[in-house]
Amino acid sequence: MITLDTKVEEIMRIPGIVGFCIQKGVSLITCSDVFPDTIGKLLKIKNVPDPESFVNDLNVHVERISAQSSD
Amino acid sequence: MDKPMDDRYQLYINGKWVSGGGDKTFESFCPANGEPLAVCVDACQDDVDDAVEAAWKAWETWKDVSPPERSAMLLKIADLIDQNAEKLALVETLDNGKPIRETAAIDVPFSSDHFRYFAAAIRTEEGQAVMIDKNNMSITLREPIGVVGQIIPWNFPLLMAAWKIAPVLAAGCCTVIKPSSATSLTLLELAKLLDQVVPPGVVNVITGSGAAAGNYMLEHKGFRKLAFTGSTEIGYSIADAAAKKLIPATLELGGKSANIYFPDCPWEKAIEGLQIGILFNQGQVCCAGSRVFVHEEIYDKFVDEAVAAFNKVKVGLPWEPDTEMGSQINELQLEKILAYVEVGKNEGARVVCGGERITGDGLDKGAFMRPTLLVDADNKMRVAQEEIFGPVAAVIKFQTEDEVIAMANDSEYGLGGAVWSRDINRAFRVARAIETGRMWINNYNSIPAHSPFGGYKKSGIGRETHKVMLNHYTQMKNIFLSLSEVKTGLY
Repeated sequence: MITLDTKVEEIMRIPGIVGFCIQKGVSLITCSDVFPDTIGKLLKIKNVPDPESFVNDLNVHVERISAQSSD
Repeated sequence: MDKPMDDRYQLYINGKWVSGGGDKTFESFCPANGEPLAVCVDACQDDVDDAVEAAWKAWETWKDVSPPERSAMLLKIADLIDQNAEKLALVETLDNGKPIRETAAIDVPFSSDHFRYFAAAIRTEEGQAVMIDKNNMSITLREPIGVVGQIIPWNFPLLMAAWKIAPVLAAGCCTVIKPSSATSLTLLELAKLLDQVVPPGVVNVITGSGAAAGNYMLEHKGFRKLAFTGSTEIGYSIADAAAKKLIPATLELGGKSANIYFPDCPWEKAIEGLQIGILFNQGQVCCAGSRVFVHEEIYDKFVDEAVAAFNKVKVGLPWEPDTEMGSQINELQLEKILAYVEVGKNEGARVVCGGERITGDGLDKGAFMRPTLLVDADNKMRVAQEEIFGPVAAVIKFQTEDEVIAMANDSEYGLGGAVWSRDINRAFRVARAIETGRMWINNYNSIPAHSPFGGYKKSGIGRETHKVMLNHYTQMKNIFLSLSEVKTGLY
């Protein structure tokens, strides 16, 4: 379960997550390294208007990926 | 091909190679074929503590080493880089995925030149003395700021290390420097060369992830300054960490630079400039010319010739000498770039070349992508506003000089940019009007040591390269002398 306090590093293990987040307006990776803090902090920096909703969408994406891989 | 790097690297602290206090390591991979290259140490907090302590101890004597002696050391470092140029170029190519023709002709020689430039610049430092009046003299000197923390990105690992370390040594500071965990190897190789010249503790290299070693550095109270090259997102964290400690930070961050073409541009050079702007280093350049503004009079012809030129670019294994574009830094970066292409298509831009990864011919295991142009773009589109960091340019039509200036400035970034025109008055007018730290006229991505580089707006604070860097790593000391023996009479 992803929350606003989840480190971006941990989220990066989810297949397709980088592309999914770009579609939603946020880049998890940078020219330094993976963003080195929580997803909540990144969403705040990126001025995402509804961070809770963004994280909910991430969790739905994770569930969909899990369902696909177990099929 | 013989492997040019070690199988395993340690941390470089206090002039010694040490395994560090933790037990974590990470592997460095070649982006072009996925082969593991070397194992590096994922530094822990104790390692950062040790490095900072060593740096301060070294600074006790290093700050008093004379400019001529420091200059001589910088020259020796430059010579050592040149003597090891072939090896450094190959390590960089394998670790980063960029073509050997770029690492051999640009990354390595520009790095040694940087040390030579600052070897010369430090000899010109003179301070100032002013007679305020007959009896009072004001002397202004620059003094080294102390121990600095530096973090560099993966797109130019060796060159960014040179940009950071050369002015630090010239200024009389000591450093703890961390490369991106994606590309640690050339900085570690550079440390081997520095070890032959620089006293222990003056330069300390910490490797590891941004989330661990990077954050330990940001939280550390022992730095007098932070210097960072990387993304704007992380730039906020660096600025925040510096503010909490009330120390300065130099930030060289992201960009979405405008590359502007007028009908009277020098045509063939202009088309090449488009390629240099967005294909150099696989487009993974903070000042990449990723927004291409083309005057309506030449738009169709320009796009046709640009497509032809882009389609001729040889994308291939980076160690092959005829490769013009190598691999993106990793699979995740490629995923990001391809996702932006989809964003652009959904916004209404048209892909006229590229837009897809390349496989086959030995490229299956890398992150290779075709040079890409998104035409009929609009400056409000996300692909024209957000940093993609890949070989993808959004091409936008314009009609007037005022219109293109307004569009170019309609960006949160302000790092680079170019204007192409034979009308010097217009070129200069446009260059002055664009809110950006660097404007090229009739060229792109030239980055010599002796011209200052850095951003306006969200592209950063402070400058890199140029002798102005000596101001960033020193602070001003004023000594005020009264030459009179007579009391002031105030008491």
